[in-house]
Amino acid sequence: MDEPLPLARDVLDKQVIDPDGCKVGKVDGIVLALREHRPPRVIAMEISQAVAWRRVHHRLGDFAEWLRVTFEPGHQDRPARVLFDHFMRGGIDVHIDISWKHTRALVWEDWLQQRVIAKIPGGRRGGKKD
Amino acid sequence: MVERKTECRVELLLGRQVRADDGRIVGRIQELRAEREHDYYVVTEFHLGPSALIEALAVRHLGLTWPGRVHGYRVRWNQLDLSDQEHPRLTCPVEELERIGAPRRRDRKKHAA
Repeated sequence: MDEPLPLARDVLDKQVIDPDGCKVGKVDGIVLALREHRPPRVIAMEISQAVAWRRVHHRLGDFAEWLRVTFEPGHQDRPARVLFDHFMRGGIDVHIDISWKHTRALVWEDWLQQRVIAKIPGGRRGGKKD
Repeated sequence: MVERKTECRVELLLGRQVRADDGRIVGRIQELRAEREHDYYVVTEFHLGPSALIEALAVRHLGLTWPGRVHGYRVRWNQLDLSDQEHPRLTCPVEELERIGAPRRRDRKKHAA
C-alpha cells in the first residue's frame, strides 16, 4: 500500500512542475470535497494569488479575486485549478502529468508574451535564438 | 440518493482550533494525511497539536517533551465534524483519539498477535 501523503508538508506551497520540467506555479490551495459517510476526497490544487491572499485575510482574498475576475485575460470565474488526478508525486516539488498549456496557471505570462514581449524588436521568439 | 458535496479548503483548515464536545480545545489542525483509494486520494487523518506542526514543518527535534502533556493527536476522518469549517468539532471523546508518537492501533494489534 502507498505511504500516506502529508498534504501540508508535501503539497501545499510547493512548486508545480509539468512533464517538460516547466515551472507552472506554486500550490496556493487544495480543494477537498466533503462527502456523506465517506472520507473527504482531494479534488484539485489551486494556483492563484487570490487563494494565497485569502490565507492572510478573507477581505484581501475577496479583493484579489475581484481584481482577477475583472482584469485577468479570459475573465474566468474560477482560479486556475489542476485536478488532483494529475498529481504524480510531492515532496520538494509537486510533479504533475499534464503540460502547463492545459492549465490556466500561466495566463498572464501568455498575455504578456503575446501583447508586450512579441512587440519588442527581437522579442517574437521569446528571446530565443535560432 | 443525491450525494451532498461541499467544498472545503485545506489551506483554510490549517491552524483552525478543534474543540471537543464539551467545548474544550483539543488542538489546532496542522497536517492532513491523504491516502490513495482506487484512482483518487482521500483524506484519512487530521493531525493536531504541536507535534503535528513539527511533522508538517519537516524538522527533527530531539524528542524532548514536557512530561505529562499530550503533544498531538491523530484524528480519523470520521472523528472530525467539518460541517462548520471555521469551528471543527470532534465527534468522539478525546480519550478515543490516538496520540502522535504512541504506537498506532493497528501496529499494537500486530505486536499483540
